[in-house]
Amino acid sequence: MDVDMNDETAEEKYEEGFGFEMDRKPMSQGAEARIFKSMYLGKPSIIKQRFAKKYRHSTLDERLNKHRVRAEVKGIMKAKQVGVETPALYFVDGERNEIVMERVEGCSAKEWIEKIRKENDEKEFKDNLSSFGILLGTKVGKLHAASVVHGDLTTSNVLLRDGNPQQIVLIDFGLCSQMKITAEEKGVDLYVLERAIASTHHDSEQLFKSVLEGYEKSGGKGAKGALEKLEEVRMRGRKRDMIG
Amino acid sequence: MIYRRKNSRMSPGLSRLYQLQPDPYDNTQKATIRICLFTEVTNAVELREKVRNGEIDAALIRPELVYGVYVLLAAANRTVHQMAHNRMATRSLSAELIYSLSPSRNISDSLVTFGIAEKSTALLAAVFDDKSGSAMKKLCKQIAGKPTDMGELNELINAKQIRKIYQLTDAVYNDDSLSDHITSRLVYKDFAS
Repeated sequence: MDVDMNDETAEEKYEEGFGFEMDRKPMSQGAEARIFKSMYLGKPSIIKQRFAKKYRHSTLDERLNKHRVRAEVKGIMKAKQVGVETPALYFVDGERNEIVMERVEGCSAKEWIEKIRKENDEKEFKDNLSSFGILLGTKVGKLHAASVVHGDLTTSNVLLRDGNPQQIVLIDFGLCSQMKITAEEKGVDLYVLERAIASTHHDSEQLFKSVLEGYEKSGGKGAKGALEKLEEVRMRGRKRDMIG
Repeated sequence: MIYRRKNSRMSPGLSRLYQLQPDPYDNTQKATIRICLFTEVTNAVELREKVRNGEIDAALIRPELVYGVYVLLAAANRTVHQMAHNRMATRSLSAELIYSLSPSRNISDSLVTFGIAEKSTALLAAVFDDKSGSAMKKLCKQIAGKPTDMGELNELINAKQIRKIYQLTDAVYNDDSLSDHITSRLVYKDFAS
């Protein structure tokens, strides 16, 4: 008897600090996914929700979304294993194409670069940019050495934990690929970053130069080949064949 | 605090109840897990036998391999999720919980590693859907040991062995990032290869 009564009021007895909460409105929405702020078992988290796109054939859409969730989970984990920081995974729902992961507090590299451009004088800016670039290059080099190509390297997909340029966290591995990675693919990965930097930040040639410097240092055996390929890709653009 | 003491009369003193969501953020579905830490356990052999033949329907886990309550709850939430979607790899929720804790996809290895051993003198008992505490109370009677505050879990953790099992040997982690790493590893398991 006693037990039943307690069952009714059980609601209050849950341990505090391990709850679930989710914002109703997304904190950001891209072409691929919506991001919601949330709490997962008491930890600050985000939900990355890949939604169905009506303009694609439903079978294709489903396959792409599933593939990308998978690629993201595997990419994040692989990066962790080789010492490149990524958000922690808290929960994955393969059916609904949702990933719950750690909420990294701080800012994106994109925001940081524009911030220091304002706050620093020209020399400081360049120095800061190049030491950051070297570190970023090292991280990309580590990934490539482990046969992981990120697929969408931009300064928005590089987070700085607590705004600290020493604490790089790479995100958005949905387009990453692993295993049997060719020098060509690595070259394209770098090229995408170069283009992204050039189109988001003016006067930032220094940044990519430093990235390559760091990359060469850490990229191991494959780095040289990838850099050569980068030259090739630069000449012709990202797509391989343009012959009609 | 007074509140807790009042409760302790009906549920086994130091057990704790946590809420889970089989589909996170879908508030219409709920599940719960009740966890209690026991120390000075003297009948591990007998308990293991009872779990195997189904006399005890609870997960009895080696506390030294559980890096904090959060890790256990993350595994528990995976368990209720798999259950809700008919994707369990094992035959019971309790076994699935132990399997969920493991980075390995080998079920029997996982159960041996994370389930209690014959020599265990401490254990974490976990029971799903026991809001009232009656199942834990019953279980408590079968365990020859001392219910202990969950805070003691920190003293029992064997970080070195945990690092080995989750293959986290070379890097330096702080407590939070170690627990995050372990959770990532658990989540990853269902997507490996």
